[in-house]
Parts: sequence; C-alpha cells; structure tokens
Amino acid sequence: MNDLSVQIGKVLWKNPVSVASGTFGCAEEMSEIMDIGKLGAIFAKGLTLKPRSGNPPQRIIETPAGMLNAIGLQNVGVDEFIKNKIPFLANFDVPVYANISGNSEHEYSELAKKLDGSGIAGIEINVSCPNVKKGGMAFGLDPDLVASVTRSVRKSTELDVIVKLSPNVTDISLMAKRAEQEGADAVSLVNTFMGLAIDINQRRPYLANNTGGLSGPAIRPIAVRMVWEVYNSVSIPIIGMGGIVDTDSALEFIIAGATALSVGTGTFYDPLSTVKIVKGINQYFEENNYKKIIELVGSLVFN
Amino acid sequence: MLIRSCKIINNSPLSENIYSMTFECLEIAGKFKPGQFVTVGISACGIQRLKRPFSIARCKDECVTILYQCVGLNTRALSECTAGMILDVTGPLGNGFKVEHNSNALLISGGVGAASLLALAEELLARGNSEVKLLFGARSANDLALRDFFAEIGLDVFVATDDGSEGLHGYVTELLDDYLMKNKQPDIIYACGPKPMLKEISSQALVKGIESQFCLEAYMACGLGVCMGCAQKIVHDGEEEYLRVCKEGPVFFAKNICWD
Ligand SMILES: Cc1cc2nc3c(=O)[nH]c(=O)nc-3n(C[C@H](O)[C@H](O)[C@H](O)COP(=O)(O)OP(=O)(O)OC[C@H]3O[C@@H](n4cnc5c(N)ncnc54)[C@H](O)[C@@H]3O)c2cc1C
Ligand SMILES: Cc1cc2nc3c(=O)[nH]c(=O)nc-3n(C[C@H](O)[C@H](O)[C@H](O)COP(=O)(O)O)c2cc1C
Ligand code: FES
Repeated sequence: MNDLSVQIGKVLWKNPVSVASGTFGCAEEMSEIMDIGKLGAIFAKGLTLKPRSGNPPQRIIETPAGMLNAIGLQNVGVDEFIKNKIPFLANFDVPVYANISGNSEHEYSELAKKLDGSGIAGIEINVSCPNVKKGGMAFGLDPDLVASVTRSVRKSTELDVIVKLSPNVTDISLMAKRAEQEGADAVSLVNTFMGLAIDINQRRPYLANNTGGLSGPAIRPIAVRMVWEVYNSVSIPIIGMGGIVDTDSALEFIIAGATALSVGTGTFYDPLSTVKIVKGINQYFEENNYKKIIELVGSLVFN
Repeated sequence: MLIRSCKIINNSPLSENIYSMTFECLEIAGKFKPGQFVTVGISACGIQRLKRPFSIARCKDECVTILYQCVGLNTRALSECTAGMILDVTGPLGNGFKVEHNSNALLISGGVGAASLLALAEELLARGNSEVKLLFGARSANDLALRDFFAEIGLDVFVATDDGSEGLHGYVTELLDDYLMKNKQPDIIYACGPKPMLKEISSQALVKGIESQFCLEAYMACGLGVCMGCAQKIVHDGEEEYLRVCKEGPVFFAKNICWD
C-alpha cells in the first residue's frame, strides 16, 4: 500500500476516504460488516444540544441517480453522544468528527464547548441542513452568518473546525472564504441540494416534510464544479463529497481540488464502497507513479 | 448481517405481477428467523439503485426465496433478472417474530404481506402448533397466488377479496370479525399488510385482549440502521419515539405502534 495519508488541519488521516455525516450512524451497525479501521476518517451523525425525534415519515424517496431525504436530524443529543458513542468510536484508530447543528450561534458554541476535550479529532459545523425548520441551512445561506457561527465555534474549542457548506447558494466560494477568514481549519462540501418529488396520483410530495435534500450521483457534476471553485478561492483543505460511489468519482474530487473526500449515499448502494475506493486509489497511484495525494489535489488541467 | 453476491437459481411469475425468486445463500439460509428480511440490489445487473427490502419467505437447501409484487422500477427490474445472474444481497436483517409455543395462532395477511408470514407458518407447524389458521385478503381471485403456498403446507386458509370474486366479499378485517364470532379466540395474531388493515386489526385485537405482532413496511434507504430513513413511531420504554423498521423492526407488538 502506498502512503495515501493526508493532513487536514492538525490531524493526519491515513487515507483520504471518509464517511459523510448522517450516512454511517456512529459506526456501531457498520462495524458488523466492515473493517472501520480502513477508513481515513468518520463524520458521525449530526448532533444537536438536546435529543431530536426527527421528522415524521415518509423521510426518503429514491430519485433518478440519487435520493431525497428529510430525516430532520433525529439524534440522541450531544450528552448521550459523548457518554455512549465516543467510547465506541474511539476503538478504531480513526479520527472522528462530530457534526453539529444549532438554532442559534449560542447553541453552536455550547455544542463546541461540550465536545472540546471529549476525545474526538474535530468538529464539523453543519450550517447547511435543509431539513430543519429553524437555523440549519439559514446560516449557510448568509455569508455573515457563516462567518459569525464559525467565529463562535472557533472561540469555543481547541479542536479542528471544519465548516460544511450548503450548495444552495449562488457563490459557494464566498462562503468558503468567510469560513477561512474566521479560522476554519478546512471546509467540507457539498451538503444536499434542496429538492421536491411529487406523487402525481395524490398531487402531494412523497416526503412528509414536503422538501428534502438531494444526494447521490445526480449531484456529482455540480459538487465537483463547486469544489473546483472553492479550491481556487481558499488555501485551507477541502473535503469533497456529493455522489461519490467508486474510485473514479472519488478521484474526480481530488483532481478538482479536494484533499480528502466523503462517501454518503454511496454507502447505501454498496456498504463496502469506501474500502473499495481506498484500494482503487492505491492502484491508480501505482499505475501512474504518484507518491503523495497532494500531488494530485487540484491538478486539473483546465481546457 | 451479511453482504453477499448471490446467484439467482430461479425467478418466475406466479401470477400477472407476483414473482417468486430463489437465490443461493447458504449463510443467510442458515441463520434467519421468520419475519426477517433481506435487501436486494440489482447493481450487478448494471443498474445502480437503492437495495430494496423483501421478507425472507422461505429458506431451503442453502437457498433463499422471496415472493414479490411488481409495483415500480426496482421490482420491475428484478422481475427481468434471470437464473445465473448475480444479486447484491444483505441480510438477514431486523428482528423476526417472537414465536411462543402457543397452540392457537391466527395469521392475517393483506396482499403480498403474506410473503412475510410463510416462514412463520412453517415454524409454527414445525413446533407442533396444530391450530394455525390464515386469513388471506386480496383484491381479487387473480391475486391469490401466495395462498397456495400456505394451503400446501397444510394450513386452513380463509379468503376475502375486495371484489368478491372469491371467498368473503369485503376486507380481510371483516373476515376477522366473522372469524372471531364463530371460533375460539386465538392466543396470538401475527399480521402483515397495508397500514389501514393493520390499524383495524390492532383495534379489534385490543378490544378482545389478543396479543398481536405486526410486520411493518417502511421506505428504506440503507436497510442497515444508519440513515434513520425508515422511522416508525413506537411506544418504547413508556415514551413515543421514532424507531427504525430495519433495525428494531420490522416486527413490532401491535400495542406499541402509534398509528397516524
Ligand atoms: C421489511 C419489508 C419487507 C418487505 N417484503 C416484501 C415482500 O416480501 N414482497 C414484496 O413484494 N414487497 C415487500 N416489501 C415492499 C417492497 O420493498 C417494495 O414494494 C419495493 O421496495 C418497491 O420498489 P419499486 O422500486 O419497485 O417501487 P417504487 O417505484 O419505489 O414504488 C412503487 C410504489 O410502492 C411504494 N413503496 C415503495 N417502497 C415501499 C416500501 N418499502 N414499503 C411500502 N411501499 C413501498 C411506493 O410508495 C410507490 O407507491 C417489503 C418492504 C419492507 C420494508
Ligand atoms: C440520509 C442522510 C442523512 C444526512 N444527515 C446529515 C447530517 O446529519 N449532517 C450533515 O452535515 N449532513 C448530512 N447529510 C448530507 C451528507 O453528509 C452529504 O453531504 C450529502 O449526502 C452528499 O453526499 P453523497 O451524495 O455522497 O450522499 C445526510 C445525507 C443523507 C443522505
Ligand atoms: S433504512 Fe436506513 S436506518 Fe432503516
């Protein structure tokens, strides 16, 4: 195996392949069917200060080359996460990131304070969840709010801070720049695109929440384009995602400028896709004589 | 929970749109419990779609059989697969039925829900429960393909059809009414079918004080317990909570299910 390690902020990942928040739980179930230790990093299920029961069903609908979801951030709350999930996640020698959502700047900084020193590698700020009524994505759509949330989390923790950007904006690189200015160690993109799927027989949306977030291969070309734009605007590392299902799609993101990547919906198509991608990237390195991931990052030859 | 590539042994129509598919999988066949399910993906056939859940209807000779109805894209694609093709299969998933040594079990199915009760019926009989009966609801006489599986293993089957083309003219819940009036009260009801049917059975069973276990359906994305997509509101430790049909289910005690 080649050295596929990448540096994200203060943390060294053994390879660039991670799992996206909300698509891997807290690794308990997945540990039954795969070797978690093979992952570059884990982004745990989105957390809020208090437990959340989530949206009523139906929460999922498959769409062409992807799916819409409106889970509504069902989660056990940060205290339970620290008490019962982190000890399990710590078993694998893989950096773990908590993904946090709040209704106010204050909630974000409270979450960060609680997680500081809890044994995780860093905090991913979710300013882009489209499925909760208050807060959530509202923060991700306004550059000043992205900046102020980043600032208050930055002040509340020594841990690495990653800002997860919403793609539901006109200029995503502006959001990335503001996050960088406020001290983010990295940005991750993209979260899901707001979408609507209609049951024509009932003339109603399939999802009880009406709208949901679109993920999967359907969004990949837009996500790759956004990674390229952000790569040209900031100098902090990018964690790229959106429709990665195999080695080729993973490499697209790295060539566009991502230092690392996350697989979300790809895990649903094939629970073992992440380990296959690690192997595939290794093979690509051998065939093309690359030595370090960083040689490839942003190596896109633009026409 | 295992992930396997499984070879299709047989995939054939039982009626216009109900199919029986058998694939090889020694490990799943060896460890499943009635009520559990598999998720089946057709990406090996060149189509990338979410894996879809199907009850394990029967396991025999290292093979797993599912009985499914064509309702949309995935099931139609599945129906076009042929023997020798490879499927992505994950299973066995979820918690099955809790089987007690009761002598008097009543099974109730609506439509293709019968698929999840077949293995249970076989197990009940194998455990020496002689008085196992099935109330089988279907739209019409053309939709009775699955009934024959139960008749073959020696179950008494009572039929209700929506259009009256066979058996009682009406819903299976009316058949239940009728059955409870004329027969000894069952110790337990096991049921699978559309939600409105289950809700009605639940209230009838509650009035009579009959314990009931239902196999529920939910739209699923992962089937593994990680996406929280398959939520069903359930009373759990005295509180209403969204549980995962793919993990804590698909079988729940009827008294704990919160109907919307
Ligand atoms: C635990 C479990 C066990 C199941 N066992 C069986 C079985 O043994 N035999 C069988 O024929 N079917 C079974 N189902 C239902 C089966 O999974 C769906 O019919 C299938 O996923 C439909 O896929 P499709 O792409 O063909 O249809 P789609 O195009 O996705 O949908 C067509 C129609 O079916 C509805 N539908 C889709 N998925 C589901 C679902 N999971 N539950 C209820 N309605 C759905 C849609 O709302 C739509 O109206 C089971 C479902 C669950 C959750
Ligand atoms: C079911 C589901 C749940 C998700 N939950 C979260 C979450 O809690 N927090 C978050 O930041 N992103 C969440 N996401 C977004 C993913 O992390 C990812 O950004 C997005 O799905 C795009 O990647 P993909 O196309 O590989 O899935 C969720 C996505 C899905 C499909
Ligand atoms: S389908 Fe993903 S948790 Fe049940």
